[in-house]
Parts: sequence; structure tokens; C-alpha cells
Amino acid sequence: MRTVEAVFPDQEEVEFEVLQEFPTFFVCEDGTLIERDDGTLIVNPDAGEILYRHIELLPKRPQAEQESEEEFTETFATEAASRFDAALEWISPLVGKMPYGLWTGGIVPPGSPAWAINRPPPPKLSGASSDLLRGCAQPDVAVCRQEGAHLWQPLL
Amino acid sequence: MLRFVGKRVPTYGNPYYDGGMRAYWSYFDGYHERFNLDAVRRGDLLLRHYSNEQNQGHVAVALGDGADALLLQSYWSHGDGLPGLNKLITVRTSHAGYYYERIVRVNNWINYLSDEF
Repeated sequence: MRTVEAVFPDQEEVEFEVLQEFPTFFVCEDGTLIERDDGTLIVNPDAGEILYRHIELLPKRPQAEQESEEEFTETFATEAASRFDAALEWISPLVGKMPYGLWTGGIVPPGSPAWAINRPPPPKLSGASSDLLRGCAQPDVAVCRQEGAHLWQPLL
Repeated sequence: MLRFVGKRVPTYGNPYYDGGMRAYWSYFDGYHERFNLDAVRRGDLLLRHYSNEQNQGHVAVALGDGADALLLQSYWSHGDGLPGLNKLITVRTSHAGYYYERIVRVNNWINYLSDEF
């Protein structure tokens, strides 16, 4: 585990665990961003200036593979015209039933309210608890350090 | 929705950003185009980027064509996380003349074969 000492204005140095290293800054626990060259805390990072500084190094969507109509039908049955239609049919029962989640810190959790984990959602929703309903959805979240609070939009 | 069709969640590369707005923006970099209210089509994913703690960005899905199509999205305006996931307002209203910045066409964010888990 690598750690780095961050310099807070008018405070003693604080040690953070480094989760991710970029050429010019570290991403540390609680989403804290720290400049590599002098350990300065990046306060209120501006997207254009900091967050997308190394966008070319981040994971990208791969090229699409060839798929026949038969292969699609095998996976999604004949009634679905597209993956979007299949997903829309699945998520529609959740509309109006799934609150916007508030999570108060730590890593992006594999459980409620973020459900940041790559595995199939439950196929049926009847009788599901509110937590399970949240668990059916993909998180769309802008995770950041926000005085201990993080907002979540459990949708995509 | 992505998980339902067997796709991975876009990630920023560490567990603090999986599924986050930065992750969506960077993951579909090269696949999103400038937002145009009248060019919105059913299934499009609309993006606003993460700027800072006060402006954390947003995504929404168009349920029809054009500015008056309803959006599938989630936000918190009142009560305990309400309305949450909803399709209450149109693209035009949600955009409010300035809000959305990019469009990922439906064939580029969900209707393609790749990225299966």
C-alpha cells in the first residue's frame, strides 16, 4: 500500500493511501486528489483543468464486435428490438419506486445505494424491497469528496 | 440498464469512481458528440460532465425524439430522495437552455456487442 503526505492549508501534513497514480496527481482514499510534485491538496478540482488531464489513460469503450440477428435473438428473445428496448422494459417497473440515494463516504460500495458491481441484476422485481429495487439499477454517480456526503443517481 | 444487457459499468480505474460521471464521460470519449436539443433521439444518453462538488454532472436517457421527449433520469428535489428514478420532464425542460453538453447515441452506449461481463 502506497501512501502520500498531503499538505493542507494551515494544517499539519496528513497521510493518505494512494488508490490510483496519474502522471501529475494521485487519487487517494475518500476521492481526495493530491498533486504529485508538491503534495498539495487539489481543492474543488475543475473538470477541465484536473479531472480530465489524463483522460487518454482512462479505460475506454472497446470496439464493437460483429453480431448476427440470430445471435442477438438467442440472447434477448424475439420481442426485444434492441438491447436498449430490453433494458427499458426491465427498468420501467422501477420508475417512481427508486429513490435517489445518499451515501456518506468510503469506497463505492458493491451494495446499496451504489451497487457498483458487474453482475446481472435480479430478473424479476415483484415484491422487492426498496433496497433490492435500488440493487437492480446501475449507479450513475459523480463520486467526490463532499464533506462526507456523496450523491448517487441509481439509474444506468 | 447496462448490467441488464450484460455490459460492464464504465470505470475511472479505481473503486471511488466506478460508475461515476467522470467514468461515463471518459469511457465514451470519442463516442459522444456535442449536445443539440433538436437532434436528440430515442435512446440517446445525455451527459453533463463532473465539474466539482457543487456541480457533479448528470446523465439521462431520452425516451423519444426531439426536444419534447420525456427523459428517464434520477434526481433528488424533495422528500427522502424523491422523485428518484422518474420520467416526469422533457429534454427541453431538463436542459433549460444550457445544461446538457454531450450526446452518446444509443448504438454507442448500449446497442452494441462488446464489453460483456
